[in-house]
Amino acid sequence: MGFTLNRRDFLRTSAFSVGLAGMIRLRAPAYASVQTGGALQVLAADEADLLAAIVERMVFNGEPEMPAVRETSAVAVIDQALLQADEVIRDQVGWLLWLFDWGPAAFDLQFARFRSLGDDAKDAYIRGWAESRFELRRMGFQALKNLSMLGYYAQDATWKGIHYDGPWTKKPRSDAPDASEVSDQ
Amino acid sequence: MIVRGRESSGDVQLRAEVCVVGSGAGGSVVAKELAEAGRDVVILEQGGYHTKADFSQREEEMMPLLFEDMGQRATDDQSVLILQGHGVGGSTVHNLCYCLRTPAPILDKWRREDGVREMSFAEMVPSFERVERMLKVKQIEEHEVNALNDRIRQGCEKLGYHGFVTQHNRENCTKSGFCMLGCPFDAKQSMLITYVPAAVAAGARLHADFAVRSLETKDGKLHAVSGDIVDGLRRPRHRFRVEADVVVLSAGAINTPQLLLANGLANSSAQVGRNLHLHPSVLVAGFYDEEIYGYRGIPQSYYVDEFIDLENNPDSGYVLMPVFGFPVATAAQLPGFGREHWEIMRDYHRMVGILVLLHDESSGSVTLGSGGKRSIRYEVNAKEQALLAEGMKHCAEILFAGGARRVLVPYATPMWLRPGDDLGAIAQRGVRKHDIQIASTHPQGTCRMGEDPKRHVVNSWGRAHDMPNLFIADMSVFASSIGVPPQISTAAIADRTARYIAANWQSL
Repeated sequence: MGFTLNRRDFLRTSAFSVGLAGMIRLRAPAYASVQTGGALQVLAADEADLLAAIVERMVFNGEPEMPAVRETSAVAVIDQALLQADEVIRDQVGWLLWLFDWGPAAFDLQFARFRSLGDDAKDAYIRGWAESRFELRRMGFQALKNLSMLGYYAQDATWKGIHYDGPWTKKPRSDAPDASEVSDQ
Repeated sequence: MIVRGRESSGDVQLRAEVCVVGSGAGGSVVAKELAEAGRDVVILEQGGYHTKADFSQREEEMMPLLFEDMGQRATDDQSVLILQGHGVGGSTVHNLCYCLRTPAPILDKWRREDGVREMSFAEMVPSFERVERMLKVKQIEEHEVNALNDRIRQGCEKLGYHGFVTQHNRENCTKSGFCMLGCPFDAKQSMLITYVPAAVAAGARLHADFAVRSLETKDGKLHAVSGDIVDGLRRPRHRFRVEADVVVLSAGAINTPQLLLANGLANSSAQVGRNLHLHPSVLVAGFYDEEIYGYRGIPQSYYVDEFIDLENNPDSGYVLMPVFGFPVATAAQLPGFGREHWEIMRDYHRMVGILVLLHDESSGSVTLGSGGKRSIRYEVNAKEQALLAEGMKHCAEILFAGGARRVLVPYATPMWLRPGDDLGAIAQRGVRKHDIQIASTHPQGTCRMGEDPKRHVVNSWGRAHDMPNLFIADMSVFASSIGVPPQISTAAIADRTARYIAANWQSL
């Protein structure tokens, strides 16, 4: 994984959110099957575990009406989105995850990785990224937040809790104009 | 005939009298009018041909399907997100159906400052009427105004601000509210189901997934266009080449100048790609005690024009429009994370969004850098930053007057306001790059029209000053910002260009 960081690429990574998930129709597996390996195409199992830990704190995992992150396919949706991204963005996200996990030692002089922190410490650490005086660190927060929200709120199971009806119709009318005229070459 | 390039098995060679590049609000109109006038027309569309059966109403699927650069197009510094359509029908597939004619003062300004001829409001009426008939434009009825729009109307009425319920191009609307993700009911009268099928019925050949890269010249005229046939992931699979007598570029105000610059054409004025106007917009959100369900019903029906006076000042002003986001986009935009974020997100159904859309004098550019890499630059000038901030203050006023209990100004560190708070705080904070998300859905002006070949790319009928058989029919020909949603203007000006081509065919 490349260890490069330039502002323009990182801006793109930060802006990366809604757009990439659906070039192919997402039929992402649930996290439980992700853990068993083989289902992810971009993220390594360790990165998926880290990402799940991040998403849990980004979206607040304590609301009874909402599904637990690890019971959804949020991480797999993010993986599918990254699959559609160009290589530069995938590299940046990989590097960002690595930095985020080891950041407590780098930024806060704590001898711990992100995943080993307690919930309050995790939140304080994330806040440190969100409110950092360094623009790139703030952008890193936004990128991880965007990915988290994409993965989580694309899940149908989250919609009831926010009073969102979701798609109206699973089966639109089939009498599309011109359908009979569509041809191969 | 409609061809999906992604299903093709080899290279393609075609010959046509007219080759139209792009199938949105401009290109589809030109194609239909010229095909009905008896011309042999080929339409090349770089995006896919999607029908209502493809429109799943899921944002994570539709955003990349229907938008340029998979919904990620932005200025180089990412300060302005630019949402443009991608695919047959262009932006008309995802737009929210405001139908307003080009304001007369804007057309007068173009005549006065750019020498544009025979394009007064009165002279444009026949084109407006033809387009409105095709798109079945009608008044939105009172019972079709949803709760979100009604809240904004109530706020305006209390404050004495002028607004009105607009016309739209929907027929038998189910009011599902998913217009921005493509209409699975074919209620939205987009180009996809109006002009495009009419063009095909008149004999035009539509080739989707055909991405034009090169414009070939011969003896001082355009001779052929060529490019890649792409797959569903926009990767080149095969090549195509189309020879044509006349070429009409309708690829939009970013892609059209990019094509011309990449091929070094029609730019003796050095104006190709310049004068980019974006109608930059920022939004403010209000939260109500009542359940609003802003995603239900027609998303935009009310329109606030209190703060624009084109008769007296055709260069400046802003309008306010209702707006709402689906869950992923909303969650990404809302401030904070964790419990703080959830406390806002749980009130998703009590939220009302309103945006400020600037009629911008500020301008930017589309250029090509080393290796042909496209660059989009745009800066909101200081005066217009202040106007946007003023508009956000009025948005907050309107939301409170309509009953909001708290208002969110989504700065990087958010500003929360309660009734009675000093709204001057918004003006003090202002609108600064990267401190608040700026978005654009109306890029325009990058190949502006006018009668001076030293200042304008095309003449009053969209014909390139430098190349007699090259026309442009999209928002790039606007001589300035038009200050209203551009669907009707783009189509009507394209209608006029098509009629000019048809009437002057023998001399082209």
